[in-house]
Amino acid sequence: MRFTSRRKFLHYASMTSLGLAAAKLGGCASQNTTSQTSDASPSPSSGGTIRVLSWPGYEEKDVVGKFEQDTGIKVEFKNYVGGEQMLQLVSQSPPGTYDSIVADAEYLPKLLALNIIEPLKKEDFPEFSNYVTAYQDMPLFYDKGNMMAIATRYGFYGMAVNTDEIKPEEAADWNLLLSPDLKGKVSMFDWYLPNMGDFSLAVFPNRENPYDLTDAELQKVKEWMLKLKPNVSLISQNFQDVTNSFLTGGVIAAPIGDWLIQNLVADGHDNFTAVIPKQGAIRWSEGATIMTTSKNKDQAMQWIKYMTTPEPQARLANVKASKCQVPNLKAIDLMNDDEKKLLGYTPDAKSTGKTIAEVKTAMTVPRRLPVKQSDKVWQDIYNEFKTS
Amino acid sequence: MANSIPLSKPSSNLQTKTPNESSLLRWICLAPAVIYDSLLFLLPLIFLIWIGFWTVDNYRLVPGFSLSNYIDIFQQFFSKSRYAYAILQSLWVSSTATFLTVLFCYPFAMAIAFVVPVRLQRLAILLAIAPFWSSYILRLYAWQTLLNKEGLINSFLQTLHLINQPIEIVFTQIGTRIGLIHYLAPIMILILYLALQNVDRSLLSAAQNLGATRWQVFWRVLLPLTRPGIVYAAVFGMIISLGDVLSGIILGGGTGKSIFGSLPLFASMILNEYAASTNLPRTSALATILIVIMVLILFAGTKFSQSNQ
Repeated sequence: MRFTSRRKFLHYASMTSLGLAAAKLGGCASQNTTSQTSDASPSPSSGGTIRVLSWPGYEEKDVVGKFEQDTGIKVEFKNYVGGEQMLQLVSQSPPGTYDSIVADAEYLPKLLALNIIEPLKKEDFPEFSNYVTAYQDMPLFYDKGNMMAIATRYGFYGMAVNTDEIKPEEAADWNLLLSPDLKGKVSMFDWYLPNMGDFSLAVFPNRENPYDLTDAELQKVKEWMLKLKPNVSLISQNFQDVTNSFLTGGVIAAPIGDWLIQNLVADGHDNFTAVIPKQGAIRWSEGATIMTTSKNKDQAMQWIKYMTTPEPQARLANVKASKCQVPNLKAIDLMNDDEKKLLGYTPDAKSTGKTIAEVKTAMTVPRRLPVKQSDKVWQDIYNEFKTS
Repeated sequence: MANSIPLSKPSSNLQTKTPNESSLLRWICLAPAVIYDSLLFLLPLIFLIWIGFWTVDNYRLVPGFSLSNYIDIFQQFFSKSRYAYAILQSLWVSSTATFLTVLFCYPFAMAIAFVVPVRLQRLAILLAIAPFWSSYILRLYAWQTLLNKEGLINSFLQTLHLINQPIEIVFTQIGTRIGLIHYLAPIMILILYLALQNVDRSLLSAAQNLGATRWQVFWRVLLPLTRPGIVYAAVFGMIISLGDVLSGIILGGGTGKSIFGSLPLFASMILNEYAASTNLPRTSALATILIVIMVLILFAGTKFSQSNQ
């Protein structure tokens, strides 16, 4: 009796498996049909899939959805946080894994050294003329006169504050972070490069390259950081943890700038803002590149061109991951009033004819890599700061 | 003749061996556990330790055997990255969290084992391990909401005029411990309940019949009998706490304050080093050091539970 039941069970199991397999095959077949239909439609592209390595944000449906719909090209994103992570991912993946990298500008020389990105032609980008001047001729995007990347977005690492506790004018000095009143009330995004850039400016104001320090100068920056440490209550690589610290952790100041705090403002917390201190601050910039080993260069180029156009630029500025500025000025016209206000595309009260974003851009310097020391020397100092 | 051999030359092995123990079936039954542990635990562990001896050149992994990662890490034990400080913080936070969890869970497990009717004990255990049904990370964020300066607990205490200023719990190692205790409690309760269930009740009755007070029965009979269970629960607690990063970041702030200062936990440091440098060999070497510490704790715990047994 038991034997019969087992046989029956096996029989039913086999039938079910066959049924499932048939359904799966059927599903595949119908997918193929859809794909063929899509190919037959008057789409400007033959479809396919491209893989892009980028910071979070580009993969959000509002940004990439229209491109995938219009061209039939599927874009698969692999997100990273921090340039070192990006380099490691690229170096340890087989050639051809990624078709495009949206890289931080300061890491382009490292990608060039690996010989994995190829030059772009300005004339391939009709929207280039609509770009803000600072991002048409940004030196970090060029190598020997060749444009190696085209800017996609940028943002500021100024001082974010809770205006119920700190007036914006008080936040216009990095030394505020050292105030004994801020003990346990400062949070930080956990990446040595922007933090140490800002702290370098705090010690050596308005330097064109705050990463170009002598050993003695770097020591002074370290001393400044060690003074700051007792005030720091949170250091996290998680965007959400950093913004939450303002809501739940009693944090009232952070060297994180607009790009993170604007998420809270967008959620209706009007008591938060970001200021560029008088000593200056770091500006991050991302640019899209084409990989030499890509087997889908045409499709990747199509996606990059799309990303430079006003509509996706306007959406990219307002992604859920983090807010940012975009280089295409036409994108501002496609933003609503709330978005313009949030992102600083409104007139600056003190500078006639300029927007807040333009003033902030002028007050900030691009993030770079350490010049006179190795990255590791700076990382070791940052680790020492964290364990002090 | 064949029968006379074991009689004339008795072997302790042959005398104690049952037919089942010598059968092939025993090894076949063991095979799934051995294969499972080898594939999912032993091999990844060996791979992790092995990678610790590799190096990175121009962001590419270079297989080989180099002690450079360990040399660099040990050179930075008390300076620069100061890993020793982070290890000290981890040991302090883990041991205190584990101690508090055992202290809290032992009476809880005792209540289930001795007070709750037998027919309801399974239900009680099920309820005790219920927190495992929800996401750990969500529970930590829930704690953050409860414990923050304007959270429920501080507001409640302020309403009752028990405190004037909010108590700082979030982004301190007290917060980390609360997260850890919540995480460890179900495991501890289960282990301690099993230890208490295995105690021979007649020994407790005998002690009482011989005139021992309830406290003496607990202190001189029950507690020594459940010592191996307590030690194993504590060892589990320590190992899990040492490897946990989430509580240390979400409730501890990544660099939470304790009596030793505002230092990160070693596990958080390993995670952050990987995120910052993505140097897998170096991170593997750091993780191997953490594993060695865990093995030492396991070894010490096993020895302690077996002593005077």
